[in-house]
Amino acid sequence: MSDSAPAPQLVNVTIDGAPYAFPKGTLLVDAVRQVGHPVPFYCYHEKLKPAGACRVCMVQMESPRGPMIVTSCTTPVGEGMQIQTMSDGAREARRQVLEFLLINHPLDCPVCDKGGECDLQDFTLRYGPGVSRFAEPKIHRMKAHELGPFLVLDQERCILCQRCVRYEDEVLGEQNLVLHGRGDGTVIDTTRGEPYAGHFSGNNTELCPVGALTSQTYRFKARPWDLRPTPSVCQGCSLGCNITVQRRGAEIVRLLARENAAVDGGWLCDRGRYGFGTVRADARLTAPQVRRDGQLVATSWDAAIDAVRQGLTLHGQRGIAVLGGARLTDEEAYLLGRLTRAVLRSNDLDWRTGAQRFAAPEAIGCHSAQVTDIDAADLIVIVDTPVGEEVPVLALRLRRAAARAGIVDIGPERNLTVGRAERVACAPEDLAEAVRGLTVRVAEAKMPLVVWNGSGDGELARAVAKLGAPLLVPGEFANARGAEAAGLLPDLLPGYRSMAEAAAVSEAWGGGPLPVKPGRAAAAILEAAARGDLGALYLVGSNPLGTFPDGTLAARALDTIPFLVVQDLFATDAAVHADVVLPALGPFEKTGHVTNLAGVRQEVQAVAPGPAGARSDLDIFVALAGALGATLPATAAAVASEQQALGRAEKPAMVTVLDRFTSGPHEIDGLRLLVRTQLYAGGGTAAFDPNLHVVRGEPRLRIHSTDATALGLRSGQFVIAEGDGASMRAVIELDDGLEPGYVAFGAHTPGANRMGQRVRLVLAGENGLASTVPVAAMGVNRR
Amino acid sequence: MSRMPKSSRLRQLRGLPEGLGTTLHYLWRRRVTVDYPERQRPVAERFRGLHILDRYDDGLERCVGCELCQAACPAHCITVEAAENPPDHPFSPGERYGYRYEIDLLRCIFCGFCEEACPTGAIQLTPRHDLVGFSRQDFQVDREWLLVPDPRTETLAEEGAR
Repeated sequence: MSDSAPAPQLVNVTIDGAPYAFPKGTLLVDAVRQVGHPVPFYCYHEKLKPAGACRVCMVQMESPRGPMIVTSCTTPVGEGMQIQTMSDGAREARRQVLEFLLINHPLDCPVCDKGGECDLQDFTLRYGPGVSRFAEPKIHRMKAHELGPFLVLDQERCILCQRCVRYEDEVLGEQNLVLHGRGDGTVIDTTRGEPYAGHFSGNNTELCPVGALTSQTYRFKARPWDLRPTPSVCQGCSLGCNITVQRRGAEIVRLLARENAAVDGGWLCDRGRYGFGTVRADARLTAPQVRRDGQLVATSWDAAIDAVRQGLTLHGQRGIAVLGGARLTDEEAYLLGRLTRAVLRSNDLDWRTGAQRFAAPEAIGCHSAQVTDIDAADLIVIVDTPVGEEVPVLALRLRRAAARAGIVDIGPERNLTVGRAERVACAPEDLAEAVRGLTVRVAEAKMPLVVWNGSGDGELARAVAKLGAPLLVPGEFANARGAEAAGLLPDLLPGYRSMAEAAAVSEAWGGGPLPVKPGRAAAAILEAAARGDLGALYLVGSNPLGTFPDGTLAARALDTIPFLVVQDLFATDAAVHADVVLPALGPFEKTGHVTNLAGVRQEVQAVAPGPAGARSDLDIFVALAGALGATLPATAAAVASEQQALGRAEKPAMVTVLDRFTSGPHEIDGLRLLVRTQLYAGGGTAAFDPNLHVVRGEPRLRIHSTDATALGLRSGQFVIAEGDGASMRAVIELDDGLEPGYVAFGAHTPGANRMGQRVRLVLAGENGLASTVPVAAMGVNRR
Repeated sequence: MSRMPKSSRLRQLRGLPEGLGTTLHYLWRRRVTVDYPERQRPVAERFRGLHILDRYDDGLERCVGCELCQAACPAHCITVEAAENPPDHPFSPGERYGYRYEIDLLRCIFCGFCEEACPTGAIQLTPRHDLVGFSRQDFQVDREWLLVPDPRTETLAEEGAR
């Protein structure tokens, strides 16, 4: 829509008698609204192409043949145009169109979720007829038609403006919703009548100008005038889409997109829009727990903090390590770093409890890119990053770019699932080679951009850095970049300072000596714990059992560690091993800042109180430091100003990306197992979010259809994957985006990282429980 | 106590027959009081007293939980929350019913705006005006209190007991 012509040619138009000039190509509807004349419209939307479907944006235009009534949303401004917006003719045209739109509308405003913020209500009041002359019976269609897990359609209320249909087509490129039928039998429905499968269904509820498309989670929860809005930022992934949290009383009832052109472009994914159920989840930890006689028992905060102090004092001689922090706010991450280094006197500190190795492009020597660079880039290289699953709203921008720019999609799986992209299929260990192969093309491109989630080894990191293109790191944790900048790394101090600058940091922290020897990274910490060389482990909002690539190592570490403290929202499988469990507050429950993947620092607001027994991570760190005889700044604002005063290093140090981090490729029956991010498969909050249960379902094992045929597997069939370390049940899902020869589990699927080296598939019975015949023994050919 | 002058005492005595005269005067006139609560004075036809939540003839509740009464209420004494009708035993016709309906009668000014706002005629102000209770809590009335008896389940005897 935005033509970047150097000097736009202006066109003179007269609107309601006053002369104006607009750039050539401006639509009348925009022109008229810009100069403050209201004009009603349903089908028109700034982000969609004009359709002229609703016919309600009529204005009167003078023409040689006399006055003409035209739809302002499809008419661009022309030289010398004379427009009347409120002439009798224009008003009468709108009135008649509105009367027609209401002929089959059920007028059930009292029970409609849109009532109170509905354009059909508002425009009918302002421009429509007071009464209907239509006396015949109305046509009845499907009401409360569940299109998908989050979306409900009322076909009677629909005015067929086709905003949703066009959004699906133009923005998503997915065509999940289409028009069926003709004439007065026209209805909106999913393409094949199957449940809506995409990740972006919720945007339809905001686009729909009437009450046809509504949200399951918001259904009958409130009326618009009950709601109190708070601007905040989604903490579901590392993009940090801007949201408006709407509460009724103390209860969060819905989230709306709050457009920030530099971050989200006004869209939200379903995970972000509906993933606020953690706030009221029954599974939330409500009281600290301490292990007594082998049992975790609820206790008071004072007792729990004292138990941590005692445990750390008792086992601290053999070393204290801290893992996690990439889900905290910037302030909390900074305070955790200070607590670990200045109070616990340890450098064994790492936020990297998953596969991601770094967060800021500068940390591996790349230039940082902004999200909007995607719109201008002419060559985009996506390195083994399932963007649509990991950072969905970023994928929308990439899909749009795919129509214009060259996209090179590297990896064992199609990363960009919609849109034209050049595939470079390669095995995970050949990624660096494939990246190096693009050196010339990247050098020749005017505005190249690399998108990589930072999950890989040092060789790949060096190869990506060597391309010299700006980099975006859509990683797996919401605030990895904030945690990295806060120095939650074994060898980096806050602000990307190297250990050599410990003296300066120590001065800012009150002068106590800091340990200067670089600590151990997550893998080394877990190895030391598994060997018995570590006294105490403090997990802050992290669960290596679910997220660490080598889950077997994580399991051994948590089994062996003498003293384990787990600080989380839920009783994760790591919390089961804990000696002390500290219930923390989560997203929507604390105020602070988060840093998104492009380094944009955004404010999050506390909008819910959280469980009565839980405390914010910040308060827990302060209390813990207090028990250990140290004083930390006690408010987010105080921490932020301290962090700001400390600032960044003049010459930022780089993050060490180790060459080895997984236990190597796993195999399933000759097929290689990949563990890939899946939007709803996460084990941290998605597993406990009642709003997301409906989409979470069984663990899915994705496989290419040719492999499935060769193995005699059907979509939806239950298999049991039996490994040395773990065996798990999964549903077969055919996915031709995956290269043949691979199968993929969702990352953070419990057990997926503990399968061991050798894995075989066993067909599960109809009930999904009785294991019967090994797939490999079925006499089908194998790769 | 100071001694009154003689003339005042005489005037006091004069009060007795005057008072008795008034009594006798009204003794033969029509009574203006009624034997409340056994008998109740009829109120004006459009008197606005205690609220009810009405039902349709088939027993389904009229309230759909649209909250328009809550929005219209100048005293902010109404709280409504809606929920989806259970498909097998719906409370009201359609998709939605008011599962929570509370009125703080101590705040209510009996203006009748709720009644005017109601699109289904669910909330109605009746001529009943015996607003009595033993605690403040007694005046926080809920949906069960407000709903008229369901003709499908309750007998007239039970209605009388209410």
